[in-house]
Amino acid sequence: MTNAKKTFFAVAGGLIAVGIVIAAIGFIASGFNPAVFSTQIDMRDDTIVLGGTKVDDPVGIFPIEQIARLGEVAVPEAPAAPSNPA
Amino acid sequence: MTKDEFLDRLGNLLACLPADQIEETRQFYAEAIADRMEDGMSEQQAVAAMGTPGEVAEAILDDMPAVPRAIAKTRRRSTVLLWVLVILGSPVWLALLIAFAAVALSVYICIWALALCVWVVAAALGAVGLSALALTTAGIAIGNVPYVLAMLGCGLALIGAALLTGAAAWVISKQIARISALWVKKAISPFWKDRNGNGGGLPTSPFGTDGTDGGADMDTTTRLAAASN
Repeated sequence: MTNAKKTFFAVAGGLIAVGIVIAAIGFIASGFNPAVFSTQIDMRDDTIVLGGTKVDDPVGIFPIEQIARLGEVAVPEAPAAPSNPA
Repeated sequence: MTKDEFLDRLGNLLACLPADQIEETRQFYAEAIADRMEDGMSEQQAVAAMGTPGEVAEAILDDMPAVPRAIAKTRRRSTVLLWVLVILGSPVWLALLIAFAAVALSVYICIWALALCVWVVAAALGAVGLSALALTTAGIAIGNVPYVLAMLGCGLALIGAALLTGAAAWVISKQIARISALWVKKAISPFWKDRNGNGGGLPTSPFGTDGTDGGADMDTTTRLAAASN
C-alpha cells in the first residue's frame, strides 16, 4: 500500500473516529436526548426545530433561511376585473 | 506428395476462407515443410509429417470461432447454399442474434449498475455529511451547543464514511472493468477470436501475429504431427 493510500485511509478513519466521539459528546451534553440528532424544517406550518429547539425566526440563519426560501412559490397577482361600462 | 501439391490442395480446401488467410496458411506450411527439409527430411517425408491436406484444413477450420467456422464449412460445400441459408434462415438467426446482443448488453449494464450503486451511496454519504456540517452553523446561530456537537460529529463521520465508500467504489469499479472486459471477450467469442486464442481482436488463424512460428503455431504443428503419426 502506498503512502498516499495510507494517508487517505488514515484521514477517513480519523474523521469517522473523531466524528463519533464529538457526536457522542453532543448526545451526552443534551442529556441523552435522541432529538439532538434531529432537524425538522416543515414549510407547511413554518415549523423549524433544530435538535429539539424550536426556531421562531429563521431570518439570517444559514442554511435554514436558504432552505426556507426553497418552499416559497411566487404566485402572480390576478388581473383586475374589468369595470362595468354602465 | 510434393510440397507444391500439398500447398495447392490445402489452398483448394480452404477456398472458403478469405484470400489473405489462405495465403498466410500456405506460407506457414511452406515454411514448416522447409524447416523439416533443412533438418534432413526428404520433401515427401516433410510433407507427410504435416498430415494430409484434409486433416490440416479441418484443424484450421476447427480452430476458428463457432460462427465463422459454420459459415466457412457451409461455404466450402456451396456458396449458393450459404446465401440460401442466410436469406431463408434470417428470421431465425437474426432474431437470435438480436436476442443475444440484448442479453449481452443487459448483463454488461447490470455489471456497471452495481458499481454505480456504490458510487451513489458514497455521494449520498458525502452530501448528507456536508449538510450536517452546514446545519452546524445554524446550531451555532441559535446557541444550541449539543446540537452543534451532534451535527459536527455526524458530519465528520459521514464525510469519513463517504471517503471510505468512495475508495471501495473505486476498487469495485476497477474489478468490474476487468470483469466486463472478460464478459465482452466471452460474448464475442462465438464470432471473433484473437490470435492468442483468448477471444476478441483479430479473426483466428493458426499463425502468430507476424506469421512466424508462435506458441499457437507450435500447438497446431504438434497436433498435426501427432495426428499424422
